[in-house]
Amino acid sequence: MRWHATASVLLAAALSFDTHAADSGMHASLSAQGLFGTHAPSTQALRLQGVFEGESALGRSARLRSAVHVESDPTDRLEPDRPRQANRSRANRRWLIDDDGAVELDELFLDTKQAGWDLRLGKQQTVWGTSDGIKVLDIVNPQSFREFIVDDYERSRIPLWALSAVHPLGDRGALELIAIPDLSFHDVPESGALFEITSPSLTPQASLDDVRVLSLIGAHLSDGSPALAALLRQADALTPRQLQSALTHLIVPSIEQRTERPPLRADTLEYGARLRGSLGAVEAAICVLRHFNDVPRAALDFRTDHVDITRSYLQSISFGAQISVPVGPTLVRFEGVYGTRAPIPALDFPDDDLSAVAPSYGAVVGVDLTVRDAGLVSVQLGELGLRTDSRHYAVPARNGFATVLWRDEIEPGRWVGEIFSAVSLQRGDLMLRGRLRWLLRDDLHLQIGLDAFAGDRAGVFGQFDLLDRVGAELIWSI
Amino acid sequence: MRISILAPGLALLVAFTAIAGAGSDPSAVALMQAVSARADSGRQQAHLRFTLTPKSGTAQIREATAYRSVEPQARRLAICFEFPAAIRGSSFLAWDAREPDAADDQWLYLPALRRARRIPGRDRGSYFLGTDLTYYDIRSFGRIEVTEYQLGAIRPLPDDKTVVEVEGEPENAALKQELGYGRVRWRVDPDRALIHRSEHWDVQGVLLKTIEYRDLQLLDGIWVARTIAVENHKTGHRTELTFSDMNNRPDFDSARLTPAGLERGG
Repeated sequence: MRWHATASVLLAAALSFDTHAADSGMHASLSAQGLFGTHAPSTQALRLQGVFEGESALGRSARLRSAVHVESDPTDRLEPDRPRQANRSRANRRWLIDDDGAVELDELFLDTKQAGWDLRLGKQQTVWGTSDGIKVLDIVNPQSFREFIVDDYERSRIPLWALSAVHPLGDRGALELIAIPDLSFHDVPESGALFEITSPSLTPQASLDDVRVLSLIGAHLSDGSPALAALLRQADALTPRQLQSALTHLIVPSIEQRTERPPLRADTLEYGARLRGSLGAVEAAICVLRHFNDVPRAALDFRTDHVDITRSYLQSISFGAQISVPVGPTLVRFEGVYGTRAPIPALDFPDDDLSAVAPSYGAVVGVDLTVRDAGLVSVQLGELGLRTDSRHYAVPARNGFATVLWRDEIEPGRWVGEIFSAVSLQRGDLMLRGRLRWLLRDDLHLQIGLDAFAGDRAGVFGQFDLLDRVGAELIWSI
Repeated sequence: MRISILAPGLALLVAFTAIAGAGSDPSAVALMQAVSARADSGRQQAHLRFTLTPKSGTAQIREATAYRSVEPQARRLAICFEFPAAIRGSSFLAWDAREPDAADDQWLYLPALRRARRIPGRDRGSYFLGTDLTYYDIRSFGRIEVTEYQLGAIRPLPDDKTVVEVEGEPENAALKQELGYGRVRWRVDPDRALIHRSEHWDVQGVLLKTIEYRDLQLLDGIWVARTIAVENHKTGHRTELTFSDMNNRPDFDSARLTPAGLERGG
């Protein structure tokens, strides 16, 4: 059923072009982008994009804002074929024109004030975290990983239908409440996609544990044992992924995969609160969110003639805190989060007393420094992990990282540069994202970029070692 | 010389400001105190056009709406950019603490990030958003902290009877480094307690820049400059700020000048 997406898009487009309303405005930008791999020369994407934004004042105290994003990429490598969008609620799905074109309602919300509360109703983004590049407390909106974490920030966060309310508390304080009747989760690249996630730190992998799993599968299947035994004898000569593939084809006639989306009910509604305030120069916030993890748990179920792999989303409660304080010429900031339940990136199988679920945590400390007049250098040290005994699963429980961000107006108003780099502290693999934006005219700018990955191919960043790329994008604003 | 309507006030200020800028000329201190004490709207909203012209090359235009308010704890300024498209939706918020020991605060809202990022405080001598004005210039806007300067005697100008000249130096070497100025010369209209022009020398004594306050108009009983033109003599770069749709009694929500308001678009 696409009527909802179509209707939303048409409504947003109509609002975008409502120039008759008082205090209204509309903007559009069209861009052409090419992304080219450098290892094996290849085209990663050739994108034509349009963003249509509109804003209309409705009386003195209400405002309607909308944004529609249209995109076409004939190379179709970032999301081959038609994405299933099983991770998204029906109301949040993109309208897929064909295999390589899509229309998405980015925003459609009404801002108004009622009884001292700023209310925002509609499709929106809610940002609680402040870390650069790697999201720690930015837990409200799911993220698109179709280009891992090198996509533009604006495009990577998936807006949700929500009602949010902010009540100011003094000068620097505010209480924010949010209810999200939109159970949509991360866009994780599907099998065969260019940025398909393969690192064992992030996704279930073949490993000795998987052999154990597949042995169990073999035991459940009547005709799999001889081939399985032969294969296991030479298992050491195979990479884990080859082993998994071979085992899968040898002994399992078919694997059926499905995603179980939670139904939207009162007990599955996502909601939360955030309280921010200050004491002297110290600015702090605490938050709590009852929500579903954006990464599903994968569970096996043995049938007489096939195996089901079912992905389902776990409900959790996340508690977060953040604080920032100026120290000399720098700003020191911290944010941390603790989630009661998160899936371990491993296959969860029955007939076992282990459960691939564990509490999760994340923490980051950052130091920001102003350079020159408008530049910023930010250094971060952090860790994301699971509070679990990893003996049972071949999954690293900790992912430490360090990042550096530099952003500056090289020539004010004309040249802007940005470099972000992140390194994994466990494996030493790293990534680099560089952008240089050149304002050619008031309505036209050119952006060139470089994305590079290096290190252990099993690492969070090293997994994309062969996907280094350069790119250019020409953006025309109307 | 014309009889200033501010003369009685100036006389009183002379008496009360003898301690300000010890060693300063009392008449000059009184005059600059009058400039600083000039009526202020407390709240102001205006459309702002930045014209940034390099020594060679084409001018850059930026347009924004500026909101300003003077609160008991801090002066607050928000600049919400509207043009060009590359920076549309970006906003800058600065809280300039009125207590000398209290910390200033700044936030930057970038629409791509959807959040107001608290940013480290900059030196008062840092340049503001690519202009030739420093943060100190922006927050003072035609006023000075008299106690921070050693002021020389008032000098009349032979070719312009409407203004006088006052020259000053920041009180000490540390302050000179912080402000980026070794010496400043102001051209002041004593009747209206308005600065028309200021010339700034750097710490090494080289002429750095000239700021001119033009199109002076009385708006709701308060004198305002509709144009501020700055020429940087070292770089050849020029900045012109043009204010339009000025409103000294705006009804914008005070929340617009808070980080939460920045994220909500006021």
